[in-house]
Amino acid sequence: MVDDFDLVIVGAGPAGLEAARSASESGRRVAVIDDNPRPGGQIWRHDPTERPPRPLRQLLADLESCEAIRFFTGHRLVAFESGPTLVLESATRARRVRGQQLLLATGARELFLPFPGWTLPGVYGAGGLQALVKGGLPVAGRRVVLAGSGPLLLASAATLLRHGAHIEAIIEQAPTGDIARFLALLPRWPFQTATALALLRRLLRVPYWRGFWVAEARGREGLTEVVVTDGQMERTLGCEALGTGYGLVPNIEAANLLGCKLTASRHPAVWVGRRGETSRPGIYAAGEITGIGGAGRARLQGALAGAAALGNLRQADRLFDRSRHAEAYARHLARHFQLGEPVRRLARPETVICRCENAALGQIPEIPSADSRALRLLTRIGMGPCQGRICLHALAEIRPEPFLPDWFARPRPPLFPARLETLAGSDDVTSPRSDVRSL
Amino acid sequence: MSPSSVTVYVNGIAVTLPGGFTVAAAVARITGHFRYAPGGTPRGPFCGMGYCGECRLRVEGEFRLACQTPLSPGLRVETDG
Repeated sequence: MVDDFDLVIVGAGPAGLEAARSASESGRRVAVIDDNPRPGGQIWRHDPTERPPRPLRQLLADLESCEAIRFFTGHRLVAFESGPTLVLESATRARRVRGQQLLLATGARELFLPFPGWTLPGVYGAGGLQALVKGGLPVAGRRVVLAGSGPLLLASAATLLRHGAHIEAIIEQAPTGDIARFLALLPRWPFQTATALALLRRLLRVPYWRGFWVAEARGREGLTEVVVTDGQMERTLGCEALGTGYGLVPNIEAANLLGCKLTASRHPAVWVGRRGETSRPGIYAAGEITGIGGAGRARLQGALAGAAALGNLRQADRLFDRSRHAEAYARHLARHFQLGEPVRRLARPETVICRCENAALGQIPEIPSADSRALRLLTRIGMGPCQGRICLHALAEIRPEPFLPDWFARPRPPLFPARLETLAGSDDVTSPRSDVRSL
Repeated sequence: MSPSSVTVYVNGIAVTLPGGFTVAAAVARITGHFRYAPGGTPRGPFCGMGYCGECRLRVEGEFRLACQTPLSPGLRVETDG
């Protein structure tokens, strides 16, 4: 059985929810899908013992009063069938939904650059640690280091401080000059400036090292210390947790599987036109999937694409002018948090690159102009549960030249590990199946 | 806004936390080792957002991602090894 909608939105973050609100004004049937148990995406993720952030509260209040909108939270998109029909899987069952129009707002994830020790328990993504703490991971009284690049390090540190962590230091690879230039022009974007000032106020007592990076994480069964360097001096910081991340990369997998055109960049985004349309008819994209630019840009793009998808072109065009200013912020961000060479060379031959298959850098042959499929077949990298979401992007940084432009070409379903019953088309997968491994 | 507490069992040990917290939060109170990678090295949660697969373990006998699974009363969770 397939549920039919006028518009299916994948992703309930800022872009997806704004798209839903925009579309709801037309009164047509809209489905919003998200694999997280609650709407909000990463940016509006919150501790369930606290009130949701205000923009999320307002959006959900607007959407709750609208009967034509149906939420499928806790549902992960795993594949497409012809139509395209979306194959979804929850903890207990499979579902199929189909939309006249499809809007992808799948957001972004962190870029990880492997270094010795990064697979130790206690080493997390920077945003990953923030998300886990909002879900109740205990950090009170623990020493934490945040390292990598970009404003997310500051946002994560602020959340952790509020939950009682002791932040030993924030380690930013970008040099002081780049940070200063980033801040000098930031007032052009009042919303981002207000966010930055609020963060910096909360982090006044936290050391913020610029031009440094974590070269190694150490510990036997779990993390006990990290080695921090600027390429000349080395310092060792004791800590029980490290959050690391070198910025964000768009979650392009679903769009890529549908054949939507991607941008020609090291970490491709989905190409969109001025009404949020992708290169495939009837498929729209909005938010971080189209380029990394933060929640403000994502909300505008979501509202724009949601309107355009249901034919409200005048509204879409009105929003376009505003979205151009947000686009300039995305470029500003990218320019001043560029990754330096040293952080791309932290992995040693024995350092694991593909966490799923435990494949080390030295095991991965350098094949010129390969798409990733050849290396997958040779080494099994990218063939585990994350399906290359981490290692393929890491390799694109570590060994950039030979791999572009086909590195992310030829994806295959399923998008995530899925139960066989889901793919086989059974509606109800709650029956006992001890012989089927789902992950 | 504070959800009532729920008790779950991690490797047979009772853990009581606010409902709405994740299985990852409950397991982290017992052990940092959620699973073992090929080759036997211990792993814990990493991406926190449901795509890396490092926090997968058995919840009521089924493989689940600990970071995306909300606690519910009486849930039985088993880590690897």
